[in-house]
Amino acid sequence: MTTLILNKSTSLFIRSIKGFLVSASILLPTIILAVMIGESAISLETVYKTFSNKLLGTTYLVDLIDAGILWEYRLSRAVIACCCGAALAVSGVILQSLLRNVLVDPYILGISAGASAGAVAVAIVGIGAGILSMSAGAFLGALLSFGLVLALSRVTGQIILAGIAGAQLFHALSALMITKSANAEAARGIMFWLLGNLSGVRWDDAWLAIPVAVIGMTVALYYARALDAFTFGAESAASLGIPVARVRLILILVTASMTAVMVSMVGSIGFVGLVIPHAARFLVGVRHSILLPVSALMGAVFLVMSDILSRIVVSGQVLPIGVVTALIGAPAFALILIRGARNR
Amino acid sequence: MISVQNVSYRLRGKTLVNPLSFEVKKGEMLGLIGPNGSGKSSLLRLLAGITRPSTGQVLLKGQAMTDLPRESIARQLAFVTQQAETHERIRVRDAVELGRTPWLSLLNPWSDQDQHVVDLVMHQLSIQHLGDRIWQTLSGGEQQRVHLARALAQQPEILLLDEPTNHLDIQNQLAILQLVEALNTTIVVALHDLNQAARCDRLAIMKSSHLIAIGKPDEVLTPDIIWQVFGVKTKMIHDTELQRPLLHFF
Repeated sequence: MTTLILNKSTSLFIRSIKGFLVSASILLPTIILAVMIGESAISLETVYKTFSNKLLGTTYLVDLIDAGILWEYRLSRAVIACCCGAALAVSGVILQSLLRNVLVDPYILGISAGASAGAVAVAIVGIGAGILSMSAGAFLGALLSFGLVLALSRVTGQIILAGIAGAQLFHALSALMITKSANAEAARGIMFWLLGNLSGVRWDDAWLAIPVAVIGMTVALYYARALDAFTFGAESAASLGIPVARVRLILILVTASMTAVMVSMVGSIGFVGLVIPHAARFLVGVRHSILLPVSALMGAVFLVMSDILSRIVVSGQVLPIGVVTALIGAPAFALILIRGARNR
Repeated sequence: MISVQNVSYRLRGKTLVNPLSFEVKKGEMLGLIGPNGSGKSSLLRLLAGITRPSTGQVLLKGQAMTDLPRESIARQLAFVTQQAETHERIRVRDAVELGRTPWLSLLNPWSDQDQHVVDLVMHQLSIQHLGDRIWQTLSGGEQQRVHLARALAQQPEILLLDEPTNHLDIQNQLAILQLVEALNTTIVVALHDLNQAARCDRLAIMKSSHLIAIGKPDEVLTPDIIWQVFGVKTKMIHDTELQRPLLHFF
């Protein structure tokens, strides 16, 4: 019996550690690639020397412009892409578990659209100017849209259709605010940002993105067992001792704030929260204690890679990152749908 | 064990349970019967503390359910809802392990004791060979056993079951009922089949969200009450081989 127990827990432990290590070991080289690739290519040697100078205090001679591009522009951008990817993937896992629907994520449910509209309201129209930051506006917008979508789905029983309605409404509101308040040039810039754009981000943004992603992830991990208990529905979770209403509220707030902060920085990026949780479940199973960290790492890798692609697909131009995630995510999503239909 | 005191439940202006009072005694198997929509499931949810009564209170071993933390209720009482399904491709063993949730926390992580309980209940319900199977590949009878195993892994003193034999073939219906009967614990079970219900120690009969009668099967399964509740005529067939009369409906 003891051997059996050891075997079982050991194999689960090894599987979990493996999944985690594989994802983590892909993330670091991906970040290094991200700082090397761009309009001007930076050599691995320069990357090594710059990192060493910055982190270990060495005094290697490096081209200052290269070092500046690498550290100030590309690394901050890669770090924020990591945080966004991780936060969106974790939000997807949480929403899919709480709502017991594998086809939902912050984008489908209109949370991203709400966050965009909130950010636009603060940045362009000037609602709450001086008191509300763009992230706070995005948070309120995210909560408002998610609240509306949940209320509509309660009446109709159709969460995805409710999400589509919510997303369309808030996209339209954003467009209306932009058209009314911004000039043509600014409007074009905002529209570009709305599609997902990492171009403008700097270290200042990272100091907000990192704690939000880390805290969101920590709270989600704290509730990993509760999320497991939702496997057979909310009543079943309640009968397993989970204070369902409280857990739902906390996790919805966590999801809304992670999405809002990321959207306020980089615009709304689709498919990360939808596709990554599926891939992670396929690799490490359904236990949230391992599913959440692996999804976070995979989301991070996916978004950094998408960012690299967005810089090299069209030479001399940067595609909005949301376009790249959609180009990869939509076919992956179609595969999930087909697989789901076959399993039924 | 459970004391229901003048409890009623209304939802969106509709009365689902009219004021009723009764006790669930330690060690008994109490059957809940009644036509579809008579309030059996709503009553079970009230007994499980999942829904709050609109009036009155439910006491669990003398304490008001509404004052108890959910975790503390789940350590004493397990509830198997009707047709609980999932889209997750969860393994049977993982599904049973969910039953340990109320006993686990950051300070009390998974231990050999929890593993032992899970092994024990899987053996008790004869599903130890299904451990690595994915939920979606199980038959209805196997899924019901896994639900029961998950509930038993909570090590509850009271087990609430909402129509555990629903949608099962006759062989699995009998097997599940025999398993439930063999459990040495307090059980409240909603049942459809009146002949199966007759095996309970006591029966509570519901109609249109009212408690019509409660008592031993031979006291309440009378032709008069069955006519009043279900609208069918009944004939009692006495057979020397059976320990109780058989009900024939027409």
